[in-house]
Amino acid sequence: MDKFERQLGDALRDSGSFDTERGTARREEIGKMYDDKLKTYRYFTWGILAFETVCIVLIVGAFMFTNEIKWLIGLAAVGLAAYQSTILMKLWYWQMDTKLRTIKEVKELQLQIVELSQRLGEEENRAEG
Amino acid sequence: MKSRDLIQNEIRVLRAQGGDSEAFRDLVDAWQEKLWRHAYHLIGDEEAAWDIVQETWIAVVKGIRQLQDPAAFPKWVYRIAGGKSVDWIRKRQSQRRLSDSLVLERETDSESAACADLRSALERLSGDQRAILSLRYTEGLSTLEIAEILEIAEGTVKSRLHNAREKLRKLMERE
Repeated sequence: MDKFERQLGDALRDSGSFDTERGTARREEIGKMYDDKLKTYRYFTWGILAFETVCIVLIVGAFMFTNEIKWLIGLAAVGLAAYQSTILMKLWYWQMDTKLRTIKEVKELQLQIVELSQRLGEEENRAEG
Repeated sequence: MKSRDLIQNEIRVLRAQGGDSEAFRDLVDAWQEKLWRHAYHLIGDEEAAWDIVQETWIAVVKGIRQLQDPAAFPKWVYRIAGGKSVDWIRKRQSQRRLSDSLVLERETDSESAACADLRSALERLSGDQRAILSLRYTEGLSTLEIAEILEIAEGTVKSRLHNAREKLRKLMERE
């Protein structure tokens, strides 16, 4: 990068006045927005799980009080599907969580490698100097 | 090897995807000014740049869980801000058509204005040119990364950078 390009970078950085206070206020607003989204997501997940549980209970109840073969088969199929979907949801959640945790650990290892190699470089420079 | 900041940013993205509010707030801290500057360079309006940043974060809140690769966050977020800026410019252009005479008057004024220094020369560049220069010289992104953000060929980025620099030099020489 030559002198002109450095000046250019500085001029671009200085152009427009970023209001730090406003930035802090916005940070809180956006953070709250994120929290609300998380809450909605949690309510939605628990809502579906509760709905499926109620469905299963109702189906089991209906299963006990009916004698018609057609209804018995139908209720068993619907009950099984509801049960499977709760399992699939839990599996999906577990898979996503494991994936995120694994990638995060890999990234943390990468960070440690970078930090260690930087420290090594600094020590080598000190030894040479 | 990736730099420390990039990896830390990826970890923040992963934590935010996992539902960590503090990590998301850190992400906002780290990116808010960059996004504001990007929007500001594109549209040249400080107040509107704040609105664009706000809209960008709303899109990020909605879509961060769907982001497959945390390393793609910078590219993704710049693209969102760029898209919102383009929408703003389009909206403004349609409003401008209604008051053509006023615009003509302003343009003549800006044509005759003198370039006092590099900063005022920068103001004479188009939003696209300012944004591309900012991504290169303020954020220190490579031409390939800029090409990915702007969804154009790397060669086009190089030629646009060259043209913007040349225009700036000419504007300053005219001084």
